[in-house]
Amino acid sequence: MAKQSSADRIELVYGSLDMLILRTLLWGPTHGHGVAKSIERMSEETLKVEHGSLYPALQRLQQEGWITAEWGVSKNNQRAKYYRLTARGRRQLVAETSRWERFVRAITGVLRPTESEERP
Amino acid sequence: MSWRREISRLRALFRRPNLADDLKAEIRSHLEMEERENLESGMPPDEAHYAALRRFGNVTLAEERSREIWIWNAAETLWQDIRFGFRQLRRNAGFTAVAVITLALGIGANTAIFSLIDAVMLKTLPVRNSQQLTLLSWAAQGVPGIMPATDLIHSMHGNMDQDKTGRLASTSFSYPAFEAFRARTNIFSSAFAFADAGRVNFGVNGEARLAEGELVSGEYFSGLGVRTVIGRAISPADDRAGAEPVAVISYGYWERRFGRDPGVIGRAAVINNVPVTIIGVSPPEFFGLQPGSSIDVWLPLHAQPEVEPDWTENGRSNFIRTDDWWVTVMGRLKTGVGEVQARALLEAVFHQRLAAQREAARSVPHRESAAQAPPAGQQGLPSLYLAPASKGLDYLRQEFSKPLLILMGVVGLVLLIACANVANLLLSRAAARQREIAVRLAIGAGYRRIIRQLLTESVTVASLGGALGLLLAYWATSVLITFMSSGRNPIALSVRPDLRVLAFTALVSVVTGVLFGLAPAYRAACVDLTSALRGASAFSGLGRGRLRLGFGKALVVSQVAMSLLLLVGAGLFVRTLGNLEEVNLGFNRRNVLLFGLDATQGGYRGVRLLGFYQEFQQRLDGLPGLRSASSSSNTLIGGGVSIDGISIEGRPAPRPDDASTGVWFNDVGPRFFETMQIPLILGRTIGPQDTSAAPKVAAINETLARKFFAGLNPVGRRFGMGDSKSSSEIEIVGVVANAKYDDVRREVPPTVYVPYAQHLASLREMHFEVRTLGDPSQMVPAIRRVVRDLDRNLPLFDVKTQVEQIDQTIFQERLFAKLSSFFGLLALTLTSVGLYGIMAYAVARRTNEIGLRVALGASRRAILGMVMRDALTLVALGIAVGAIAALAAGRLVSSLLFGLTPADPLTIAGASLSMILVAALAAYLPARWASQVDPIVALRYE
Repeated sequence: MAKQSSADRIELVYGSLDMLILRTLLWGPTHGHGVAKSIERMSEETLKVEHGSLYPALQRLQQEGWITAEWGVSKNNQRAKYYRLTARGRRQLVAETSRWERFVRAITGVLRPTESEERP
Repeated sequence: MSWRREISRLRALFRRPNLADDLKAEIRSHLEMEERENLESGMPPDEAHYAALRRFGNVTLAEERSREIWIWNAAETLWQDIRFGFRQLRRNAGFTAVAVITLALGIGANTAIFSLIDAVMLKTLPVRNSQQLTLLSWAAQGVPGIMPATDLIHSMHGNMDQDKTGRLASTSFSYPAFEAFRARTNIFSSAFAFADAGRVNFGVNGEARLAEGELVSGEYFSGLGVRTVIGRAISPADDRAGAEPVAVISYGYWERRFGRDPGVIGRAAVINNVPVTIIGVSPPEFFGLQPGSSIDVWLPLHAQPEVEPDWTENGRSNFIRTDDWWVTVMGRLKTGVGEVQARALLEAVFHQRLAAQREAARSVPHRESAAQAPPAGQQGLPSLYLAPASKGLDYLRQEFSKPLLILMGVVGLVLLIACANVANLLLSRAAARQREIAVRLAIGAGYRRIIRQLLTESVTVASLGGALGLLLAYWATSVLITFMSSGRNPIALSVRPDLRVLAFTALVSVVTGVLFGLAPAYRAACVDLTSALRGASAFSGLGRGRLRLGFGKALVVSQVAMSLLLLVGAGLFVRTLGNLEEVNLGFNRRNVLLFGLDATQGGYRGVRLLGFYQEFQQRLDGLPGLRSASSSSNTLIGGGVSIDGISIEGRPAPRPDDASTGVWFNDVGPRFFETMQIPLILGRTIGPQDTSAAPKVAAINETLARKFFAGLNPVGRRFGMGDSKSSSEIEIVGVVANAKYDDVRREVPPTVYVPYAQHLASLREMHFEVRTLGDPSQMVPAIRRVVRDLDRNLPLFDVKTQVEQIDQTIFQERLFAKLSSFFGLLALTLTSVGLYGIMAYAVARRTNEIGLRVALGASRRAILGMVMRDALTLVALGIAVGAIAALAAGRLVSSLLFGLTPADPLTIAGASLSMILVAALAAYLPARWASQVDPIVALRYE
C-alpha cells in the first residue's frame, strides 16, 4: 500500500473519534499510544489523528462509563495506562455503529441515487 | 452481586484521584513510546524526539481540554441535576412536602441542640488570644463536705468539686499565693485574680438594686485584653489598700440601669454601703469569665474588706493570710512556655509556700489535741493543675455537658429515623421511576451519572429541610434557653447562630441527603434494563423483589428499634420526674413563700443585726393572711448547706477529717418546725425562749438520733460543734422527724437545728419562710412594705414559693422528661408512617398474589391476619433490637435517673406496648386494603 500524502488525510467528523476509540478497544485493552496506532493502521493511514486529541476523548469516554482505565506495564516494560471497554461501552459501540451505518447509508443514498429512484 | 463490587463501585463514586498528575504521566509515557518506535524505524535520536512531539500536537492543549471535560462535566452535571431535581420535586409536591417537613424536624432539632452545645461547650471567651489563658486549680485527698488540708486552709470561698479520681478539687487560692504566681514573670506574661462578690446592693441616687458583682485584681482587664467602651478599666493603681474605690459596670447593666447614659462615668454609687465611683463600661460581648452567667459590676479586689466586711475574720487581712483561700487565678502563659513546664514550675512555688506555712503552723501551739499534729514536709500537699481557660470557667459545661450530649444523641436518633422514613419514601418512588431510569440508561446515561442525579435530588430535599430546620432551631433554641434558665442559676447565653452552627446544619443536611438517598439511588441505578423497558415491573422477579423489599423492611426494623430506644428513654425520664415530684420531703411544700434579706448590706452587725431580724419577724407575724412565719440560714431544698463536725459529750474527740462525724446544720428562728410542718417526735422544738442569753440548745432529726444515739434518748444529751472547745456546749432539747435538707435526691442527712440567736458569729443573710392561708405570692407586696418601713435600702432577694424552689432543683429532669417525650412521640409517629408506607407498598405489590389467594379460597380474615403478622413480625424484631440497645445504653443515663434503674422492666414493657399498639394501628389500614382485594380485578391486572 502506497503512502498517502497528508492532503489525502481526512479530518475526523466530530464525535466519530469516540466510536473509533471504542472500536479499537474491542480487540482488548490497550494504552493511548496503542489506540492512536490502531486507528491509523486500521484506516490505512487515511484518518488523521493528532495524538494529543485522543486524551480529552479518552477522558470523556471514561466519564460516560464506556471505558475504564488502569495503570499497567507495556511489552517494553514501560508504565502505561491501559483502557478497557466496559459492557456499557460495548453496547454504546453497537448503538453508535448502527447509527453510523444508517447515517452513511442515508448520505450515500442522497449523494449517489439508485437507478430505481432515477427512473420513476 | 458481590459485596466487593458494590463497595468498589461506591468508592469510585467518591474517589477523587489526582487527575491532572495522572494525565501528565500518561502523556509522558505516550511520547516515550512514540519516540522508541521512531528510533526503531531508524530516526536519529533528536529527530525521533521531535517527531513524537509533532505527532502528538499541543501537549498543553490536550491537558487543558481534558481538564475542561472534567470540570465542565462536573459543573454542568450538577446544574443539570439540580434543575432536573427541582422539576422532579415540583412534580411530586406531596412527596416533597412530607420529606422536607420530616427532615426539617430532624435537622431543626439537631441544630437547636448543637447551637446550645456550641454556646456552652465550644465558644471561646471574647478576649484577646483566649487560647493563651490558663486557669490554676489544685486537688487534694479528702472527704466531701469536710475541708481538705485543714492544716493549710482555715477558710475557703469558691467551689469545691470531686475530680475523677475522687479527690477534692478547687480553684481558690490565698492572695499571697496569687502574688507568688504573678511574680513568676518567666512563666506568665500576665496573671490576674478574681473572686465572686455575689449579689451586691448597688445604690444609685438613693435607689438600691441588686447586681452581680465580681472582685478583680488590677491586672484583670489588661490581662484579658478587654477594653472598656467608655471610661477606663480597673488598673493596678485602683487595686491596692487605701485606693479610692472604683467600679466598672457591664454594657448590659449600663443599658438596663442607666439607659446607656455616657454621663455615668464619674458618677457616685453606693455598693454595700461603700461609696464608689463608676469609671468604665465593659464591651457588650463580655459577660465575665463564667459562660452562662453575667457580671454586672466589677470592683477592685482590695475593695473586698469594705464591700464584704463579713469575710474578714478578726480583722486579719485576707491579703496577708495564707490560710484564707478565696481568689481564682488565671494567667496568660508566655509564648514558648509549655503547659507541662509551667505546671512543674508553679507547683514548686506552690509547694514551697505551703511547706513553709505548715512549718510555721507547727511552731505555734495548735489547739489542745496532739493527735491532730499536721504531717511534716511536703507530704500530702495539694497538687497544682493548669487547665486551658479559653472557654472560661467550666461550671456551665459541668452542669450541662452530659445532658446536652445525651440530647444530641436523642435528636441524632430522631434524624436517623427521619432519614429512614425519607429513604423508604424514595424507595417506593424509585420503583415508580424504574422506567424513567431504564430509558435514560438505555440512551446512554452513565450509571454514576444517574446515581449522582438521584443523590443531588435527595440532597436538594435535605437542604430544603435544613433551611426550614434552621428557622425551627432558631425558635427552639430560645425556648430551650428559657427552660435551662428556670434552674436555680439563671443562665444568660447568647445563642446567635454563628458560622459553626450554620456549617453544622449544612453538613448535617448534606450527610442526611446522601444517607437517605444513597441506598435508593444505588438500587435505582441497578435496574435490570430489559425487564424494566419491557414495561414489566422491575420488581417482578421473585428473588430480587424479596431482596429489595428486604431493604425497606430492614429500614423499618431499625426505625422501630431506634424509636423504642427513645421511648424507653422518655419513659425513664418521665418516671424519674414523677419519682422526684412524689418524694416524701418530710415537710409541707404548699402555701409557703420564701425570700431572703441581708441586713449586713445595710450596715447592721452583731447584736443590731439580730435585733433587726427579730424586729422584722415580729412585724411579719402581724400581717393578715399569714398563718406562721419563721427564718433559717438555709432554706429547704435551696441548695445551700452548712456542714460541721460534732463531738458528743462523754465520747472521744473525732479526728477533724473524720467524715462520719459530719452533720448538717441549719440556724433557724422560732416556730421553724411549725411553719414548715415538720413533726416533733420527742422533747420540744426551738422557740422564742431560746435567746442569745439562754443556754444553748438544739433540735436534731431522726437520722442523727439513730446515728449517734441508737437505742438511747438523745434529749438532754450534750454535744459541741466543730471548732468549739467544749463538747458540752449545746443541749439537745428535741427530736424532729426527718426532712430533706438541700436536695430532694439526697437521703436525709443527720441534721442539727440550732437557734440563730445563739450563733451570732455566723449570722449574715437570713431566709424567711412564710406559710400563708391563701396564694403565697399575694403576700409579696405586703412583705416588701414591711421591709421598706424598717430600712428602705434593703432589697429582698430569692422571692419564690417553696414549690417553685423545689421545681427549680428538678428543672433538668423536667426538661429531659418533656424533650424526651416530645422526641419519643415524634419518633413513634415517624416510625408508624414508615411502617404504614412499607406495608401499603408491600400490599400493592402483592395484589396479584393476594387476589390469587382469595380466588383459591383464603378468607378475608386470613389475609388481614397475614398482613398484620408480617407487619408485627417487623415490629417485634425492632423491639427486640431496641430493647437490647436500651439496656446497653442505659448506663449512659443512669446518673440522670432517680428512683429507678435504666433496666426498669415496667418502662421497657410500657414502651414496647405503646410501640406495638401504634404499629398495629399503622399496619391495619394496608391490611384492610389487602383483605378487600377483588380477586377478579387483581388477576385481570397482570
